[in-house]
Amino acid sequence: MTKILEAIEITKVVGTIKKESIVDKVSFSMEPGEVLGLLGPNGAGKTTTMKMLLGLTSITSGEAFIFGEKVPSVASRRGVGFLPEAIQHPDYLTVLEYIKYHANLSSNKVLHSDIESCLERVEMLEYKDKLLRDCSKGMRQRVDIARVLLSNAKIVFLDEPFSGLDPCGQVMLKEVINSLKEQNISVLVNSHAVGILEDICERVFIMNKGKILVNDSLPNLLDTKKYFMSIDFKDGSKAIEFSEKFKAQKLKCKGTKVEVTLTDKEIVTDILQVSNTLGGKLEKAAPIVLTLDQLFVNVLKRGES
Amino acid sequence: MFSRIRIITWNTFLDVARHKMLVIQFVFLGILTGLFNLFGHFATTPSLEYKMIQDVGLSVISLFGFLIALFIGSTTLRDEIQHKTIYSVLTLPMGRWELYTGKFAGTLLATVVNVLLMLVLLMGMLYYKFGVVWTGFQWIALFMLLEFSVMTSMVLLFSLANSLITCFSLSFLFVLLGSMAEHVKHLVVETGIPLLGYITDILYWFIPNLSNFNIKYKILKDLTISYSFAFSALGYAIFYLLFMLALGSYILKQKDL
Repeated sequence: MTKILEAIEITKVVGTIKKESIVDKVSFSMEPGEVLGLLGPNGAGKTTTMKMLLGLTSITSGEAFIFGEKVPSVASRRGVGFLPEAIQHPDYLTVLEYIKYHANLSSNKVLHSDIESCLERVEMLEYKDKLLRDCSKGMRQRVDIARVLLSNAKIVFLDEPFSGLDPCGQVMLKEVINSLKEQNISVLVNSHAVGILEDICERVFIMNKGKILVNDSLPNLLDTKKYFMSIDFKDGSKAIEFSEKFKAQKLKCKGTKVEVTLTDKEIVTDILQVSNTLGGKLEKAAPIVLTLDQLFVNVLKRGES
Repeated sequence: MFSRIRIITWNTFLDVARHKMLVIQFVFLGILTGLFNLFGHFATTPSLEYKMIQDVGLSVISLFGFLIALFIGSTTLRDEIQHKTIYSVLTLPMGRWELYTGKFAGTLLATVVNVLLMLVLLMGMLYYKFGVVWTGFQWIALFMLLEFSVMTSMVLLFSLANSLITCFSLSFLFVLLGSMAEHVKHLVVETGIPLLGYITDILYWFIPNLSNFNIKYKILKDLTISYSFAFSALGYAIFYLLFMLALGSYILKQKDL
Protein backbone atom coordinates (compact mmCIF):
# COMPACT_ATOMS: atom_id res chain seq x y z
CA MET A 1 0.00 0.00 0.00
CA THR A 2 1.25 3.55 -0.73
CA LYS A 3 2.55 5.49 2.20
CA ILE A 4 0.82 8.75 2.84
CA LEU A 5 3.46 9.85 5.34
CA GLU A 6 7.01 8.74 5.80
CA ALA A 7 9.49 10.06 8.35
CA ILE A 8 13.06 8.83 8.05
CA GLU A 9 15.25 9.41 11.08
CA ILE A 10 14.00 12.94 11.65
CA THR A 11 15.94 14.76 14.34
CA LYS A 12 15.49 18.11 16.01
CA VAL A 13 18.39 19.64 17.86
CA VAL A 14 17.89 22.78 19.94
CA GLY A 15 20.30 25.07 21.77
CA THR A 16 23.30 26.94 20.46
CA ILE A 17 25.90 26.19 23.10
CA LYS A 18 24.45 23.16 24.88
CA LYS A 19 22.90 21.17 22.08
CA GLU A 20 20.09 18.77 22.90
CA SER A 21 18.10 16.43 20.67
CA ILE A 22 14.44 16.83 21.52
CA VAL A 23 13.49 14.47 18.69
CA ASP A 24 16.08 11.83 17.95
CA LYS A 25 16.09 9.80 14.73
CA VAL A 26 12.36 9.18 14.67
CA SER A 27 11.19 6.97 11.80
CA PHE A 28 7.67 5.84 11.02
CA SER A 29 5.17 5.77 8.21
CA MET A 30 1.41 5.93 7.78
CA GLU A 31 -0.92 4.39 5.28
CA PRO A 32 -4.19 5.81 3.95
CA GLY A 33 -7.06 5.43 6.39
CA GLU A 34 -4.81 4.50 9.28
CA VAL A 35 -5.32 5.95 12.75
CA LEU A 36 -1.99 6.19 14.54
CA GLY A 37 -1.75 7.13 18.20
CA LEU A 38 1.21 9.04 19.53
CA LEU A 39 1.83 8.50 23.22
CA GLY A 40 4.45 9.74 25.61
CA PRO A 41 5.00 11.69 28.81
CA ASN A 42 5.20 15.49 28.79
CA GLY A 43 8.30 16.70 26.96
CA ALA A 44 8.71 13.45 25.03
CA GLY A 45 8.86 15.30 21.70
CA LYS A 46 5.42 14.38 20.35
CA THR A 47 4.26 17.88 19.46
CA THR A 48 7.68 18.78 18.04
CA THR A 49 7.50 15.69 15.82
CA MET A 50 4.11 16.84 14.54
CA LYS A 51 5.37 20.38 14.02
CA MET A 52 8.37 19.12 12.06
CA LEU A 53 6.11 17.09 9.78
CA LEU A 54 3.86 20.10 9.25
CA GLY A 55 6.77 22.39 8.39
CA LEU A 56 6.23 24.61 11.41
CA THR A 57 9.61 23.70 12.85
CA SER A 58 12.71 22.88 10.84
CA ILE A 59 14.13 19.37 10.66
CA THR A 60 17.76 19.33 11.80
CA SER A 61 18.56 16.04 10.08
CA GLY A 62 16.69 13.23 8.39
CA GLU A 63 13.83 13.72 5.98
CA ALA A 64 10.08 13.38 5.80
CA PHE A 65 7.58 13.05 2.99
CA ILE A 66 3.83 13.62 2.89
CA PHE A 67 2.05 12.44 -0.28
CA GLY A 68 5.56 11.81 -1.59
CA GLU A 69 6.41 15.51 -1.31
CA LYS A 70 9.38 16.51 0.77
CA VAL A 71 8.65 18.35 4.02
CA PRO A 72 8.69 21.34 4.37
CA SER A 73 7.04 22.45 1.14
CA VAL A 74 3.74 23.96 0.11
CA ALA A 75 2.96 20.77 -1.85
CA SER A 76 3.42 18.59 1.25
CA ARG A 77 0.75 20.64 3.05
CA ARG A 78 -1.84 20.22 0.29
CA GLY A 79 -4.40 17.90 1.84
CA VAL A 80 -3.20 18.27 5.43
CA GLY A 81 -5.39 19.25 8.37
CA PHE A 82 -4.06 20.28 11.77
CA LEU A 83 -5.76 20.74 15.12
CA PRO A 84 -3.19 22.35 17.43
CA GLU A 85 -3.27 22.06 21.19
CA ALA A 86 -4.73 24.88 23.29
CA ILE A 87 -4.81 27.66 20.75
CA GLN A 88 -6.17 31.05 21.68
CA HIS A 89 -8.70 31.88 19.00
CA PRO A 90 -9.06 35.36 17.49
CA ASP A 91 -11.74 36.72 19.77
CA TYR A 92 -12.97 39.39 17.36
CA LEU A 93 -14.38 36.78 14.93
CA THR A 94 -17.64 34.89 15.10
CA VAL A 95 -17.69 31.12 14.75
CA LEU A 96 -18.83 31.40 11.14
CA GLU A 97 -16.26 34.08 10.23
CA TYR A 98 -13.46 31.99 11.72
CA ILE A 99 -14.44 28.93 9.70
CA LYS A 100 -14.89 30.98 6.52
CA TYR A 101 -11.50 32.66 7.00
CA HIS A 102 -9.69 29.31 6.99
CA ALA A 103 -11.86 27.85 4.25
CA ASN A 104 -11.11 30.81 2.00
CA LEU A 105 -7.40 30.65 2.76
CA SER A 106 -7.25 26.96 1.92
CA SER A 107 -8.41 27.78 -1.64
CA ASN A 108 -10.95 24.96 -1.58
CA LYS A 109 -14.32 25.79 -3.02
CA VAL A 110 -16.43 25.59 0.13
CA LEU A 111 -20.15 26.10 -0.02
CA HIS A 112 -22.08 27.73 2.78
CA SER A 113 -24.06 24.50 3.13
CA ASP A 114 -20.77 22.58 3.66
CA ILE A 115 -19.82 24.94 6.48
CA GLU A 116 -23.22 24.57 8.07
CA SER A 117 -23.17 20.77 7.84
CA CYS A 118 -19.70 20.68 9.45
CA LEU A 119 -20.88 22.96 12.25
CA GLU A 120 -23.92 20.76 12.71
CA ARG A 121 -21.72 17.69 12.92
CA VAL A 122 -19.85 19.20 15.86
CA GLU A 123 -23.10 20.54 17.34
CA MET A 124 -22.13 24.18 16.89
CA LEU A 125 -24.54 25.32 14.20
CA GLU A 126 -26.79 27.16 16.62
CA TYR A 127 -23.80 29.17 17.85
CA LYS A 128 -22.50 30.16 14.41
CA ASP A 129 -23.01 33.89 14.99
CA LYS A 130 -21.52 33.85 18.45
CA LEU A 131 -18.17 35.61 18.97
CA LEU A 132 -15.36 33.17 19.72
CA ARG A 133 -14.50 35.12 22.88
CA ASP A 134 -17.96 34.22 24.20
CA CYS A 135 -17.50 30.49 23.52
CA SER A 136 -16.23 28.05 26.14
CA LYS A 137 -12.99 26.11 25.67
CA GLY A 138 -14.87 23.00 24.62
CA MET A 139 -17.00 24.94 22.15
CA ARG A 140 -13.90 26.47 20.57
CA GLN A 141 -12.38 23.01 20.32
CA ARG A 142 -15.49 21.86 18.46
CA VAL A 143 -15.20 24.84 16.10
CA ASP A 144 -11.62 23.84 15.35
CA ILE A 145 -12.70 20.28 14.64
CA ALA A 146 -15.21 21.69 12.14
CA ARG A 147 -12.40 23.74 10.59
CA VAL A 148 -10.30 20.60 10.12
CA LEU A 149 -13.26 18.69 8.67
CA LEU A 150 -13.76 21.43 6.08
CA SER A 151 -10.15 21.33 4.93
CA ASN A 152 -10.70 18.29 2.65
CA ALA A 153 -7.60 16.78 4.20
CA LYS A 154 -6.25 13.35 3.35
CA ILE A 155 -4.20 13.29 6.53
CA VAL A 156 -5.16 14.93 9.78
CA PHE A 157 -2.85 15.77 12.69
CA LEU A 158 -4.61 16.09 16.03
CA ASP A 159 -2.63 17.45 18.97
CA GLU A 160 -4.42 16.76 22.28
CA PRO A 161 -7.83 16.90 20.59
CA PHE A 162 -9.77 15.58 23.59
CA SER A 163 -8.59 18.20 26.06
CA GLY A 164 -11.36 20.59 27.04
CA LEU A 165 -14.10 18.40 25.61
CA ASP A 166 -16.90 17.12 27.82
CA PRO A 167 -17.76 13.37 27.63
CA CYS A 168 -20.35 14.04 24.88
CA GLY A 169 -17.74 15.99 22.94
CA GLN A 170 -15.26 13.15 23.36
CA VAL A 171 -17.77 10.66 21.98
CA MET A 172 -18.52 13.03 19.11
CA LEU A 173 -14.80 13.33 18.30
CA LYS A 174 -14.35 9.56 18.44
CA GLU A 175 -17.16 9.22 15.92
CA VAL A 176 -15.58 11.90 13.74
CA ILE A 177 -12.23 10.08 13.79
CA ASN A 178 -13.91 6.78 12.95
CA SER A 179 -15.76 8.39 10.06
CA LEU A 180 -12.49 9.91 8.77
CA LYS A 181 -11.04 6.42 8.85
CA GLU A 182 -14.00 5.13 6.84
CA GLN A 183 -13.32 7.84 4.27
CA ASN A 184 -9.73 6.55 3.98
CA ILE A 185 -8.34 9.63 5.71
CA SER A 186 -5.27 9.02 7.88
CA VAL A 187 -5.23 10.43 11.39
CA LEU A 188 -2.22 10.98 13.63
CA VAL A 189 -3.43 11.59 17.19
CA ASN A 190 -1.24 12.84 19.99
CA SER A 191 -3.12 12.47 23.25
CA HIS A 192 -2.86 11.60 26.91
CA ALA A 193 -6.39 10.16 26.79
CA VAL A 194 -5.04 6.61 26.69
CA GLY A 195 -8.43 4.93 27.08
CA ILE A 196 -9.81 6.73 24.03
CA LEU A 197 -6.71 6.01 21.95
CA GLU A 198 -7.16 2.33 22.74
CA ASP A 199 -10.64 2.51 21.20
CA ILE A 200 -9.75 4.38 18.02
CA CYS A 201 -6.16 3.54 17.07
CA GLU A 202 -4.93 0.62 15.04
CA ARG A 203 -1.35 1.35 15.82
CA VAL A 204 0.47 3.38 18.46
CA PHE A 205 3.96 4.52 19.05
CA ILE A 206 5.28 5.49 22.41
CA MET A 207 7.93 8.18 22.66
CA ASN A 208 10.14 9.26 25.50
CA LYS A 209 13.01 11.74 25.54
CA GLY A 210 12.76 12.21 21.80
CA LYS A 211 13.02 8.54 20.89
CA ILE A 212 10.45 6.01 19.78
CA LEU A 213 10.38 3.19 22.33
CA VAL A 214 7.61 1.12 20.77
CA ASN A 215 5.87 1.21 17.39
CA ASP A 216 3.46 -1.60 16.54
CA SER A 217 -0.17 -2.48 15.95
CA LEU A 218 -2.33 -2.26 19.04
CA PRO A 219 -3.31 -5.98 19.17
CA ASN A 220 0.36 -6.96 18.95
CA LEU A 221 1.36 -4.55 21.67
CA LEU A 222 -1.41 -5.44 24.08
CA ASP A 223 -1.14 -9.19 23.60
CA THR A 224 1.24 -10.55 26.27
CA LYS A 225 1.30 -14.06 24.70
CA LYS A 226 0.35 -15.34 28.16
CA TYR A 227 -2.70 -17.30 29.25
CA PHE A 228 -4.47 -17.45 32.56
CA MET A 229 -6.34 -20.49 33.96
CA SER A 230 -8.16 -20.92 37.22
CA ILE A 231 -9.10 -24.49 38.38
CA ASP A 232 -11.09 -25.48 41.46
CA PHE A 233 -10.38 -29.01 42.88
CA LYS A 234 -12.78 -28.98 45.90
CA ASP A 235 -10.03 -30.91 47.73
CA GLY A 236 -6.86 -29.17 48.93
CA SER A 237 -4.66 -32.28 48.56
CA LYS A 238 -5.63 -32.61 44.88
CA ALA A 239 -4.76 -28.97 44.33
CA ILE A 240 -1.32 -29.54 45.90
CA GLU A 241 -0.83 -32.68 43.78
CA PHE A 242 -1.70 -30.67 40.64
CA SER A 243 0.70 -27.90 41.66
CA GLU A 244 3.52 -30.40 42.12
CA LYS A 245 3.00 -31.77 38.61
CA PHE A 246 3.16 -28.33 36.98
CA LYS A 247 5.66 -26.66 39.29
CA ALA A 248 7.67 -25.53 36.26
CA GLN A 249 4.79 -23.14 35.47
CA LYS A 250 3.97 -19.93 37.26
CA LEU A 251 1.11 -20.87 39.56
CA LYS A 252 -0.60 -19.91 42.77
CA CYS A 253 -2.31 -22.43 45.03
CA LYS A 254 -5.02 -20.92 47.26
CA GLY A 255 -6.70 -23.71 49.25
CA THR A 256 -8.66 -25.76 46.75
CA LYS A 257 -8.02 -23.28 43.90
CA VAL A 258 -5.05 -23.13 41.56
CA GLU A 259 -4.31 -20.19 39.27
CA VAL A 260 -1.87 -20.82 36.44
CA THR A 261 -0.18 -18.29 34.15
CA LEU A 262 1.13 -19.96 31.02
CA THR A 263 3.63 -18.74 28.50
CA ASP A 264 3.34 -21.91 26.42
CA LYS A 265 -0.02 -22.61 24.79
CA GLU A 266 0.96 -26.27 24.16
CA ILE A 267 0.65 -27.16 27.85
CA VAL A 268 -3.05 -26.26 27.98
CA THR A 269 -4.10 -29.77 26.81
CA ASP A 270 -1.89 -31.44 29.44
CA ILE A 271 -3.28 -29.19 32.18
CA LEU A 272 -6.86 -29.91 31.21
CA GLN A 273 -6.19 -33.68 31.15
CA VAL A 274 -4.52 -33.71 34.56
CA SER A 275 -7.14 -31.47 36.14
CA ASN A 276 -9.91 -33.73 34.79
CA THR A 277 -8.17 -36.80 36.23
CA LEU A 278 -7.87 -35.07 39.62
CA GLY A 279 -11.52 -33.94 39.52
CA GLY A 280 -10.74 -30.27 38.97
CA LYS A 281 -13.24 -27.86 37.46
CA LEU A 282 -12.02 -25.22 35.02
CA GLU A 283 -13.42 -21.88 36.22
CA LYS A 284 -11.67 -19.45 33.91
CA ALA A 285 -9.33 -19.59 30.91
CA ALA A 286 -8.37 -16.48 28.98
CA PRO A 287 -5.42 -14.85 27.23
CA ILE A 288 -3.77 -12.09 29.30
CA VAL A 289 -4.19 -8.75 27.51
CA LEU A 290 -2.78 -5.45 28.75
CA THR A 291 -4.66 -2.18 28.71
CA LEU A 292 -2.94 0.65 26.84
CA ASP A 293 -2.16 2.56 30.03
CA GLN A 294 -0.55 -0.57 31.54
CA LEU A 295 1.50 -0.96 28.39
CA PHE A 296 2.44 2.72 28.49
CA VAL A 297 3.68 2.49 32.08
CA ASN A 298 5.54 -0.78 31.39
CA VAL A 299 7.25 0.61 28.32
CA LEU A 300 8.33 3.77 30.11
CA LYS A 301 9.67 1.81 33.08
CA ARG A 302 11.52 -0.54 30.75
CA GLY A 303 12.87 2.46 28.83
CA GLU A 304 14.17 4.06 32.00
CA SER A 305 15.79 0.88 33.25
CA MET B 1 -1.92 33.75 -4.02
CA PHE B 2 -3.18 37.35 -4.06
CA SER B 3 -6.60 36.29 -2.82
CA ARG B 4 -4.96 34.79 0.28
CA ILE B 5 -3.00 38.00 0.90
CA ARG B 6 -6.24 39.96 0.48
CA ILE B 7 -8.04 37.69 2.99
CA ILE B 8 -5.26 38.06 5.60
CA THR B 9 -5.15 41.84 4.99
CA TRP B 10 -8.87 42.17 5.58
CA ASN B 11 -8.75 39.95 8.65
CA THR B 12 -5.91 41.98 10.18
CA PHE B 13 -7.84 45.18 9.48
CA LEU B 14 -10.98 43.68 10.99
CA ASP B 15 -9.08 42.90 14.18
CA VAL B 16 -8.06 46.56 14.55
CA ALA B 17 -11.42 47.90 13.45
CA ARG B 18 -13.34 45.84 15.99
CA HIS B 19 -10.93 46.43 18.80
CA LYS B 20 -9.30 49.80 18.79
CA MET B 21 -10.32 52.07 15.93
CA LEU B 22 -13.15 54.00 17.57
CA VAL B 23 -11.08 54.58 20.70
CA ILE B 24 -8.25 56.10 18.62
CA GLN B 25 -10.65 58.42 16.80
CA PHE B 26 -12.32 59.55 20.02
CA VAL B 27 -8.98 60.33 21.64
CA PHE B 28 -7.91 62.29 18.56
CA LEU B 29 -11.20 64.19 18.47
CA GLY B 30 -10.69 65.10 22.11
CA ILE B 31 -7.15 66.38 21.44
CA LEU B 32 -8.33 68.33 18.39
CA THR B 33 -11.13 70.03 20.31
CA GLY B 34 -8.59 70.92 23.00
CA LEU B 35 -6.25 72.41 20.38
CA PHE B 36 -9.00 74.54 18.90
CA ASN B 37 -9.87 75.99 22.27
CA LEU B 38 -6.24 76.48 23.29
CA PHE B 39 -5.04 78.26 20.14
CA GLY B 40 -8.12 80.46 20.13
CA HIS B 41 -6.68 82.13 23.24
CA PHE B 42 -3.06 82.48 22.01
CA ALA B 43 -3.29 83.39 18.33
CA THR B 44 -3.44 87.07 17.50
CA THR B 45 -4.95 86.69 14.03
CA PRO B 46 -7.27 84.05 12.54
CA SER B 47 -4.68 83.11 9.87
CA LEU B 48 -2.05 82.51 12.57
CA GLU B 49 -4.54 80.43 14.54
CA TYR B 50 -5.29 78.43 11.35
CA LYS B 51 -1.58 77.76 10.75
CA MET B 52 -0.97 76.83 14.40
CA ILE B 53 -3.83 74.34 14.46
CA GLN B 54 -2.77 72.92 11.09
CA ASP B 55 0.86 72.57 12.26
CA VAL B 56 0.14 70.99 15.63
CA GLY B 57 -2.75 68.94 14.22
CA LEU B 58 -0.47 67.41 11.57
CA SER B 59 2.20 66.68 14.18
CA VAL B 60 -0.34 64.95 16.39
CA ILE B 61 -1.59 62.91 13.40
CA SER B 62 2.01 61.92 12.57
CA LEU B 63 2.62 60.86 16.15
CA PHE B 64 -0.67 58.96 16.35
CA GLY B 65 0.01 57.33 12.99
CA PHE B 66 3.41 56.13 14.18
CA LEU B 67 1.95 54.85 17.46
CA ILE B 68 -0.84 53.02 15.61
CA ALA B 69 1.66 51.43 13.20
CA LEU B 70 3.88 50.56 16.16
CA PHE B 71 1.18 48.97 18.30
CA ILE B 72 -0.55 47.08 15.49
CA GLY B 73 2.66 46.14 13.68
CA SER B 74 4.42 44.92 16.79
CA THR B 75 1.53 42.75 17.98
CA THR B 76 -0.21 41.40 14.90
CA LEU B 77 2.29 38.63 14.06
CA ARG B 78 3.53 38.20 17.63
CA ASP B 79 -0.02 37.52 18.86
CA GLU B 80 -0.60 34.97 16.09
CA ILE B 81 2.57 33.15 17.15
CA GLN B 82 1.92 33.38 20.90
CA HIS B 83 -1.76 32.41 20.59
CA LYS B 84 -0.78 29.58 18.20
CA THR B 85 -3.37 30.75 15.65
CA ILE B 86 -0.51 30.91 13.16
CA TYR B 87 -0.37 27.09 13.18
CA SER B 88 -3.77 26.65 11.59
CA VAL B 89 -2.86 29.19 8.89
CA LEU B 90 0.68 28.06 8.10
CA THR B 91 -0.30 24.41 7.80
CA LEU B 92 -2.45 25.41 4.83
CA PRO B 93 -0.80 25.14 1.41
CA MET B 94 0.55 28.68 1.39
CA GLY B 95 3.91 30.36 1.80
CA ARG B 96 4.91 32.19 4.93
CA TRP B 97 5.63 35.28 2.79
CA GLU B 98 1.92 35.45 1.93
CA LEU B 99 1.03 35.67 5.61
CA TYR B 100 3.77 38.25 6.19
CA THR B 101 2.68 40.40 3.23
CA GLY B 102 -0.97 40.13 4.28
CA LYS B 103 -0.10 41.19 7.81
CA PHE B 104 1.90 44.15 6.45
CA ALA B 105 -0.93 45.24 4.16
CA GLY B 106 -3.52 44.82 6.94
CA THR B 107 -1.47 46.86 9.40
CA LEU B 108 -0.87 49.54 6.78
CA LEU B 109 -4.57 49.62 5.85
CA ALA B 110 -5.57 50.03 9.49
CA THR B 111 -2.97 52.78 10.02
CA VAL B 112 -3.88 54.63 6.83
CA VAL B 113 -7.64 54.45 7.46
CA ASN B 114 -7.07 55.82 10.96
CA VAL B 115 -4.78 58.58 9.70
CA LEU B 116 -7.18 59.50 6.90
CA LEU B 117 -10.05 59.71 9.37
CA MET B 118 -7.95 61.98 11.57
CA LEU B 119 -7.01 64.15 8.58
CA VAL B 120 -10.65 64.40 7.55
CA LEU B 121 -11.57 65.34 11.13
CA LEU B 122 -8.87 68.03 11.15
CA MET B 123 -9.90 69.32 7.74
CA GLY B 124 -13.57 69.32 8.70
CA MET B 125 -12.97 71.22 11.92
CA LEU B 126 -10.76 73.77 10.12
CA TYR B 127 -13.48 74.29 7.53
CA TYR B 128 -16.13 74.53 10.23
CA LYS B 129 -14.21 77.19 12.17
CA PHE B 130 -12.51 79.19 9.39
CA GLY B 131 -14.64 78.38 6.32
CA VAL B 132 -11.46 77.59 4.31
CA VAL B 133 -10.98 74.42 2.25
CA TRP B 134 -7.58 72.86 2.83
CA THR B 135 -6.04 72.57 -0.64
CA GLY B 136 -2.88 70.58 0.18
CA PHE B 137 -4.86 67.73 1.70
CA GLN B 138 -4.20 65.20 -1.09
CA TRP B 139 -0.42 65.74 -0.87
CA ILE B 140 -0.39 65.32 2.88
CA ALA B 141 -2.45 62.14 2.53
CA LEU B 142 -0.12 60.72 -0.14
CA PHE B 143 3.11 61.46 1.71
CA MET B 144 1.72 60.16 4.98
CA LEU B 145 0.73 56.96 3.19
CA LEU B 146 4.31 56.58 1.95
CA GLU B 147 5.82 57.43 5.34
CA PHE B 148 3.59 54.96 7.18
CA SER B 149 4.18 52.17 4.68
CA VAL B 150 7.90 52.51 5.34
CA MET B 151 7.37 52.69 9.11
CA THR B 152 4.99 49.71 9.10
CA SER B 153 7.38 47.54 7.11
CA MET B 154 10.09 48.41 9.62
CA VAL B 155 7.97 47.75 12.74
CA LEU B 156 6.70 44.44 11.33
CA LEU B 157 10.28 43.33 10.72
CA PHE B 158 11.29 44.22 14.28
CA SER B 159 8.21 42.40 15.64
CA LEU B 160 9.97 39.16 14.68
CA ALA B 161 12.50 39.86 17.44
CA ASN B 162 12.13 37.79 20.57
CA SER B 163 10.89 40.51 22.86
CA LEU B 164 8.41 43.35 22.56
CA ILE B 165 10.88 45.71 24.23
CA THR B 166 13.46 45.02 21.49
CA CYS B 167 10.80 45.69 18.86
CA PHE B 168 9.75 48.97 20.48
CA SER B 169 13.32 50.15 21.11
CA LEU B 170 14.48 49.41 17.56
CA SER B 171 11.38 51.02 16.07
CA PHE B 172 11.82 54.22 18.09
CA LEU B 173 15.54 54.32 17.33
CA PHE B 174 15.06 53.83 13.59
CA VAL B 175 12.29 56.45 13.40
CA LEU B 176 14.45 58.90 15.32
CA LEU B 177 17.49 58.23 13.14
CA GLY B 178 15.31 58.16 10.03
CA SER B 179 13.93 61.61 10.82
CA MET B 180 17.46 62.96 11.20
CA ALA B 181 19.05 60.94 8.37
CA GLU B 182 19.66 63.91 6.07
CA HIS B 183 21.16 66.04 8.87
CA VAL B 184 23.43 63.22 10.03
CA LYS B 185 24.68 62.67 6.48
CA HIS B 186 25.49 66.36 6.07
CA LEU B 187 27.24 66.44 9.43
CA VAL B 188 29.38 63.44 8.51
CA VAL B 189 30.36 65.00 5.18
CA GLU B 190 31.46 68.11 7.05
CA THR B 191 33.67 66.13 9.45
CA GLY B 192 35.69 64.88 6.46
CA ILE B 193 36.35 61.45 8.02
CA PRO B 194 36.05 58.86 5.18
CA LEU B 195 35.32 55.88 7.50
CA LEU B 196 32.34 57.67 9.05
CA GLY B 197 31.16 58.42 5.53
CA TYR B 198 31.23 54.71 4.57
CA ILE B 199 29.41 53.70 7.75
CA THR B 200 26.67 56.27 7.25
CA ASP B 201 26.37 55.26 3.57
CA ILE B 202 25.73 51.65 4.63
CA LEU B 203 23.33 52.67 7.40
CA TYR B 204 21.58 54.97 4.93
CA TRP B 205 20.32 51.86 3.09
CA PHE B 206 18.85 50.29 6.21
CA ILE B 207 17.57 53.28 8.13
CA PRO B 208 14.57 54.82 6.39
CA ASN B 209 15.14 58.38 5.28
CA LEU B 210 11.89 59.78 6.59
CA SER B 211 12.80 63.33 5.57
CA ASN B 212 11.91 62.22 2.02
CA PHE B 213 8.28 62.27 3.14
CA ASN B 214 8.30 65.38 5.28
CA ILE B 215 6.29 67.96 3.37
CA LYS B 216 4.70 69.60 6.38
CA TYR B 217 6.83 72.75 6.10
CA LYS B 218 5.92 73.04 2.41
CA ILE B 219 2.23 72.78 3.21
CA LEU B 220 2.46 75.31 6.00
CA LYS B 221 4.35 77.78 3.78
CA ASP B 222 1.93 77.12 0.90
CA LEU B 223 4.82 75.95 -1.31
CA THR B 224 4.03 73.82 -4.34
CA ILE B 225 5.10 70.17 -4.38
CA SER B 226 6.70 69.12 -7.64
CA TYR B 227 5.86 65.84 -9.33
CA SER B 228 9.54 64.92 -9.49
CA PHE B 229 9.77 65.28 -5.70
CA ALA B 230 6.65 63.13 -5.29
CA PHE B 231 7.92 60.45 -7.70
CA SER B 232 11.33 60.23 -6.05
CA ALA B 233 9.63 59.80 -2.65
CA LEU B 234 7.32 57.16 -4.14
CA GLY B 235 10.25 55.29 -5.70
CA TYR B 236 12.21 55.36 -2.46
CA ALA B 237 9.22 54.10 -0.44
CA ILE B 238 8.51 51.23 -2.86
CA PHE B 239 12.16 50.18 -2.96
CA TYR B 240 12.53 50.35 0.83
CA LEU B 241 9.37 48.46 1.68
CA LEU B 242 10.03 45.74 -0.91
CA PHE B 243 13.44 45.25 0.67
CA MET B 244 11.95 45.12 4.17
CA LEU B 245 9.17 42.74 3.10
CA ALA B 246 11.66 40.38 1.45
CA LEU B 247 13.88 40.46 4.55
CA GLY B 248 10.95 39.93 6.95
CA SER B 249 9.51 37.08 4.87
CA TYR B 250 12.90 35.38 4.81
CA ILE B 251 13.31 35.69 8.60
CA LEU B 252 9.78 34.36 9.21
CA LYS B 253 10.47 31.44 6.86
CA GLN B 254 13.53 30.48 8.91
CA LYS B 255 11.75 30.86 12.25
CA ASP B 256 10.85 27.77 14.30
CA LEU B 257 7.28 28.19 15.48
